[in-house]
Amino acid sequence: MAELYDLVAARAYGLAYRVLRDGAAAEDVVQEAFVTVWEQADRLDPARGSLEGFVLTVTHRRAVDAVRARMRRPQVSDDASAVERVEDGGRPVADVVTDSIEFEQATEALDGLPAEQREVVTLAYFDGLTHAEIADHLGVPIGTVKSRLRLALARLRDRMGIVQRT
Amino acid sequence: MNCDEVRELLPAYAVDALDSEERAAVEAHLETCDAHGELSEWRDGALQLAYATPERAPPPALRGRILSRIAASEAAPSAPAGAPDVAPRRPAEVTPLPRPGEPSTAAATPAGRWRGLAGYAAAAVLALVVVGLGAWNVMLQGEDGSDVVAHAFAPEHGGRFVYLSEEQLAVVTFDRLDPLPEGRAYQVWAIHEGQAPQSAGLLAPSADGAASIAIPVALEAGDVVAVSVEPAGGSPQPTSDPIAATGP
Repeated sequence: MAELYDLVAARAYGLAYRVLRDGAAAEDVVQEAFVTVWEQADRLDPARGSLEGFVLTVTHRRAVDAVRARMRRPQVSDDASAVERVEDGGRPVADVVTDSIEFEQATEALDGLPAEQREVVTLAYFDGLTHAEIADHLGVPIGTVKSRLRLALARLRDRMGIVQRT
Repeated sequence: MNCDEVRELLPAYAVDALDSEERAAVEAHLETCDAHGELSEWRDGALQLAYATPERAPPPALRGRILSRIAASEAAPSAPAGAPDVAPRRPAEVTPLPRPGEPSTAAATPAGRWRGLAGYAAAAVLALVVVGLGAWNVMLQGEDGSDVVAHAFAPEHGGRFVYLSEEQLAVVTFDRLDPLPEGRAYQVWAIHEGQAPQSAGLLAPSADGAASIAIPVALEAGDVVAVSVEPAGGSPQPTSDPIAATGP
């Protein structure tokens, strides 16, 4: 089990780094996330989700908050880079320590989404945009963003049974 | 915000794509309404996105920093019941440990490949995290002999000391160290009984005087960890009396 925590730290750091693209900021986010998990440990209901998932959920929220605070109004630099990020999944190349089975399967699930759904979840999850900002960015109604997000998450979740280990 | 409105926002909430007002409104509703179990399903979908992110090795120093923060909160004199002695919350007393020869839960996880990357500090962080997470029925392999010493010392500086014997790691934190004149620094020493002090590094207090350090060292009863004021950059041996000292 101790090793599992090592796994969470690397995944959490990878997630924070991907959102923030800044090692020092990612470190701060991961540190705060671990402390939050520590502080809330006694109040959490294990039935509501795995510990690993909780660490990642807290890490992501803090990373998004940090990137929004930094940019005030988060913006995608331009359309070309957004498309590029969507297409390659925005994966940083350097310092990637391992590609796990979960990574491969989750990436496959993400890549398997229709492009318009993948674009919306990528802008939301990895670029930290709000759904209203995504609607602005793509020039589509916010209801369209909501429904694409809903469909994308449902499809990703359905693939979870394949990916999730016991 | 009513149930239907919240339901419509939950997917975006699960990926942190709401603005702060929307998020606050959703959370206010969730506080008082139990009818949104579907949130966990949206969260599962969102987690797939986290898994679609490549892992990165965090800088080794991050583990020590997290350890220090957690150790400090655990050993703080104002901590809730059980502190400063964390031993009663050891996982060994919460969950039966696997017997030797039994298949371990960890062996079945991909985490196994991380074995070997984990340094002493990682192990210590994990031990401390696990100590606080007995509610998850987490098990810490091979830790049944582990012992945690935690106590406050040097109250004028808000000192706390944590020692993890299994990991051979000591963590010393201070809430308030006096500012030092230019050219001076706080140096930490590990002193094995009957031997000369060994430098364990310099403290770098923040603006408000808080500082912490994680020291990989095997300590036994009678050994001491001390802090003295030395020339910036540190001394080979202490040149002044300690301002604080403690031990396991």
